[in-house]
Amino acid sequence: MNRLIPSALALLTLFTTAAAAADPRGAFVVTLGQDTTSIERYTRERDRLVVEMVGRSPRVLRRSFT
Amino acid sequence: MVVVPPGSEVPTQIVKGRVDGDSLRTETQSGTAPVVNSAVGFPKGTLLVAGTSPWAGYEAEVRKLTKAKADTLGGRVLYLGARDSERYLIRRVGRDSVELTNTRADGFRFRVDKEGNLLGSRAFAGTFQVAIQRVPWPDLDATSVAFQSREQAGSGLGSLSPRDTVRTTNAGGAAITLDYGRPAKRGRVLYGSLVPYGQVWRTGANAATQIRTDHSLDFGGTVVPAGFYTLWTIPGLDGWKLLFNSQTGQWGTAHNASLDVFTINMRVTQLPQVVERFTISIEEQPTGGTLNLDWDSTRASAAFTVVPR
Repeated sequence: MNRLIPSALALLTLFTTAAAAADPRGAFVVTLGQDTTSIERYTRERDRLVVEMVGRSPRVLRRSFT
Repeated sequence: MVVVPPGSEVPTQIVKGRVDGDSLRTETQSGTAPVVNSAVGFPKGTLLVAGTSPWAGYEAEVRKLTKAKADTLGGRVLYLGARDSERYLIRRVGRDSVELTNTRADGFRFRVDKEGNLLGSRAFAGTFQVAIQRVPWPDLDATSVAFQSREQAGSGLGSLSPRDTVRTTNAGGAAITLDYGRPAKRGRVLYGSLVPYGQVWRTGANAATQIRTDHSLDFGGTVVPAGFYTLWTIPGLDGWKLLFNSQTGQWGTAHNASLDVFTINMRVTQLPQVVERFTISIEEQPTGGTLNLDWDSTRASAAFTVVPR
């Protein structure tokens, strides 16, 4: 199981909150209770959205959506 | 969509979608299986998102709401793989927060910045109970290796709520089979929160929990005839209700109260230690047994005797 460390998360949030406004890119950690289920990132382009993710359930797989 | 195992260049699945007028036409190639084609119609302006990863799509809509300085924004969303689109509504609930609900009963509250970018979320309704947290741009290659290392060390997530079966042939001579999904606690507050008191609970995960018995069972004077039922509960602080429903084969969110056929009072006790994964068991006794539902530190039980044929 992947336990997220709250203080580290808070620090990451601090950095990313300011950066989010101008950046056409972003990323999220997705959790279910204490477990991280996936990490994903996206890029907003003029006429499309590109999403890439690594999920852990039912097994580790990379997915990309365009 | 392209699905690739870590360390491989060969996709296990490729889904190609093409918007054709008011339809989404998809072509799915899974391994060496034949290509599967499908088409789903949707109204113009529908938001297209992956059901497991809708966040960037939701964010685009929240950004529109913010730019328009509006209080609400609604429309239709098509979750890839679904047979139909459904409605969603985004509502501003504070300077830095919005709520999103949809007709599949999901409810999320998002923290947002002044541009409408999502900073974090929590689910307040529905069965998709995940949360998100915005993080810096990640190295997905390194993430993939780290996840895979954990998986190889035996700490993979596996199925989030695996299906399991309970079988007994020795409870008063009855053959009883139960099948159910087994959600995990994962550090969450369960009863009174994730599983609200006073409301019907699916008593498992995913497809509805089912029970089949070849003998009639007497639960303290309420006789449940031999047959096939779905099982539901209503958890309460002072006791639980166990519901036998005559509908079978449905999803665990599709409880039809008009088809409840028997209601049994359950006894609630505290377990000596936390049970991480929801567990149903039947304690066998010479003339019947006890059905136990264990999760977290709570056990709900219902004793029965088997009615001779």
